[in-house]
Amino acid sequence: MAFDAQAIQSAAPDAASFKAGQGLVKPAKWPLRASNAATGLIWGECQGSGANPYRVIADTSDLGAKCTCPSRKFPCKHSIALMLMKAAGDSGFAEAEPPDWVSDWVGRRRKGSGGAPAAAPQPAASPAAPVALAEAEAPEPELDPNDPKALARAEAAARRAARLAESNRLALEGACAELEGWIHDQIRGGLNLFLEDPQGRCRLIAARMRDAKASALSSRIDEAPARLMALPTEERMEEAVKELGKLLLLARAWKAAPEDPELRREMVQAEDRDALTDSAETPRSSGIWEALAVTIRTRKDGLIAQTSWFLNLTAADPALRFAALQDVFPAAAGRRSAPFSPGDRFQGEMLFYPARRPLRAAVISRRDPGETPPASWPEAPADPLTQATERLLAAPWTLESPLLLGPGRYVSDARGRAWWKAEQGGAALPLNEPPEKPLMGLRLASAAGLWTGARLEMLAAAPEWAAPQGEKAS
Amino acid sequence: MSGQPDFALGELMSAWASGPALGSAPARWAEALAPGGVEAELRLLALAGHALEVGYRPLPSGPLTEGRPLPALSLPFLAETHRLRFRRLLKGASYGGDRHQLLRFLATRGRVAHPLDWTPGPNDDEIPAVYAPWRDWAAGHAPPPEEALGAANWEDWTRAGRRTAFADLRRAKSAAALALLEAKFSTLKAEDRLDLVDILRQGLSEADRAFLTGIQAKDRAPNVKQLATALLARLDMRAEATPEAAAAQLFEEFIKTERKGIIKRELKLSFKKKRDEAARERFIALIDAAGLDALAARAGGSRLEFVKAWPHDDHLYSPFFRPLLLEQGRPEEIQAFLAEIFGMDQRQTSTHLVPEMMERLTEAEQFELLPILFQRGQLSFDEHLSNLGLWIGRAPMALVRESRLWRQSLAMLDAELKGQGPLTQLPPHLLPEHLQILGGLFDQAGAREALDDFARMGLSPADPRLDLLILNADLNADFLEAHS
Repeated sequence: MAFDAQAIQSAAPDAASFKAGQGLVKPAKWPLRASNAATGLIWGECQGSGANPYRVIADTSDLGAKCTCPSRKFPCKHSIALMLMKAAGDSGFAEAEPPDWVSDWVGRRRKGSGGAPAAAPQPAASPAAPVALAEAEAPEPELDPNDPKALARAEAAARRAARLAESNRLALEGACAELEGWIHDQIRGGLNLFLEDPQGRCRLIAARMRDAKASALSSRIDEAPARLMALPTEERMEEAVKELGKLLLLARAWKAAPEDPELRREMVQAEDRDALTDSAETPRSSGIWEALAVTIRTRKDGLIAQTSWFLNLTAADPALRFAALQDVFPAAAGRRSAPFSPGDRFQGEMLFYPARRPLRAAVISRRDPGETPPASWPEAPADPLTQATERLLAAPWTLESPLLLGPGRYVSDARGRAWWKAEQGGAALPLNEPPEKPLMGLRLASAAGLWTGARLEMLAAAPEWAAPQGEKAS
Repeated sequence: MSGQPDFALGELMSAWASGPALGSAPARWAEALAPGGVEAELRLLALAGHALEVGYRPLPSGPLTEGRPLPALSLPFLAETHRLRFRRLLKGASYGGDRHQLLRFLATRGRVAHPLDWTPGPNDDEIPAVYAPWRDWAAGHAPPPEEALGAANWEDWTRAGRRTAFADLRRAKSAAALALLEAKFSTLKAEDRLDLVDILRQGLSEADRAFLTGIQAKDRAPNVKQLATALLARLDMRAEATPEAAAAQLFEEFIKTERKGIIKRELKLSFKKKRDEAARERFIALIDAAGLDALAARAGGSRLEFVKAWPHDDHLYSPFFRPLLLEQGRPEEIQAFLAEIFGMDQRQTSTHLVPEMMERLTEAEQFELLPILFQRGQLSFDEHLSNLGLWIGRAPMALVRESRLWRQSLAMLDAELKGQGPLTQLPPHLLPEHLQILGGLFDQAGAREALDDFARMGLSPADPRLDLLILNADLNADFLEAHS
């Protein structure tokens, strides 16, 4: 099969996708492009609108492609752009061995099934046809300062937006008052009653919060019962006190500073990523970043939250040591392949969403992974929970805190539950789930996990396997 | 779970279980709770929740115990770069035999699977010996004792390890093995009794009679009793008949002989028609009592002639010659027998005891069998690799090029790449299986050459059916020598 712009255009699902793909033929949008002549594979990473860059793979032999973006079009604009760049002879493609995520796709793919419809190509609409550019990134029309009508329209729109914001704020204040009343009702009736049916009780107040457009708070309340019920019965009372107390503190903090970006994010929704990029006040952190893990959570509202956790190995400020790249997409869009694999490293800069202890972030720039210099993990504090304490003292509504852990081991308590135990200092943290059996008893040189206040979810660990007999341990 | 209480947490929690808890609030929080009423109750909840988070450390309810770490093996793990491919291969090897061959191939290249990709279960018998420490670990056992199996250390062995050690003891010291089994027999489960009595087949003698008679009379498990009865029948046969008489009886009841060919007068053996399953135990007892010398003499030929003439067309009776050959056969006789098997259609015979017979041959003797083996069609990955003996992952390309296995692979691949669809006379699953077999049999240079050949034909090097060939080409065989 020919590999040129015409063939790629024929493989495009519609003219809009092809045009949108053409719009992405900008090397600056592609921090990574590589190819492998022996296999005919090309791959790259494209910075899209999500926190994580999209990973794109294409097979030049049959125009098969795969992208981690949520688009249902096939091939998507990112795949088209990658192929167009290669077909145009772009010299920015480094010759390399296919990384695991590329090999994995090739391994799972059946020729023809994940590829372009080579046997029976769908007729592509003419580029000139008046097709809606749904996928194209159309720029906002700029305001003409010499057009009084346009200025008046813009002012009216701003006034309407301000009125809407005020009415939303008042609605949310009312909802917060209801939340406080609801919390008091739970106490008055006794938390034993609350723990008998937390789902039913939380569902009602969560719906009220959703009506008041506090969708983030609504999800948090909706998911609280699952957090409670995951714990053994004897721990649920304490956890209920923590959950309800945090809700109260969050609602009060927001009432005191409704424009605070962190509190707005906790109550309503995260701000637009582009707005963050434009702001000079958002914290940034450069260094060598290592991907620790990708966590995927299905939320009660039907959305999937996919979070890539990163550790900055060379962070000057320990408060900006961890970064969480979060993307949220509908469950119906299907499972998305993880944008990073644990252990991946790159040198680059992250931009943090403003917060008392920034954590949520987005990649701003990254250099070719091949250039990443070696770096070791930073030293962990003797008491790992001080990291969570600092975060909670600054933002007491925090649900989970990433922890850097020093040398330790997985151990078991008398009931057979798994713990992580520090080698020195005696700290021990219960795990949310047991590690894989071969890891039990092994020394972990370092690790990182998420502390929920009751359990540790291990994100990454460096086990020291026994060296082959006759060799020294490394 | 929480620890280090410095205020009346228990009281607060008890109160909240059934209603407001303001009366149980610590005195030091009085100022913060001054407004009283609903506001004070809410503040108390927020304060207590926050204090639980920042002021408390989780404490286990009892002592924390470290598990015994996964023991080291004698070989290093497969490198990180190969793990993804190997995991894919393991995933495809749902059948235990295929997995065993993959692990065996890896071990011949001086590597073991990474423990996060695969570890054996406590009763996995069919794994390369290098993984034995992991199997013991999975069974919760310490490494097996270094001294021989005995009554004192009986419990220190895993079931699989004990079985192997008992078979070794029976081979080396037949009487000691019998005494040990007699001493432990009453404490064993039925499945262990069956397993260990079965090992008595090896070196069975009159010394075992009293023990077997006891089992026949008293054992609670019918299958153990049945096994003892069969072994006693063998002893009876030996006692009643000389090898010559047993051989004569065997030919009388079961086997026909004739000579074919005008000049060479080749010996031909075949089973008589009147046979049934009930007579099988008698057949086994007769063949065991006769021995190879008497059988050959009775057939009127040499031992080698007899071995070559043994019929393979009866699955009810044919395989019972193999234990006798394994025990009494000379290398050239075993080699001749295997050449007969390898030269036959797969459907006519089985791989029963073939790996064990291969082990009796030297590397050079095994090598002489390879060309015959490679002509054989329709063998599964497991069957093919288990027949390779010491030559797994070591066959040179020159030996394979002329084989049916290679020719069929090329023909099927060519048809597929030219879009002609599968060849009608061959089942469609055969190409992936052939490519996998080739991946497991070639030496490193052969694997690289095969990959080049396939790439020239137009097969993408990224095709997952080439996983084992690529792993083979990437894994350096010198590693073992450097570590031996």
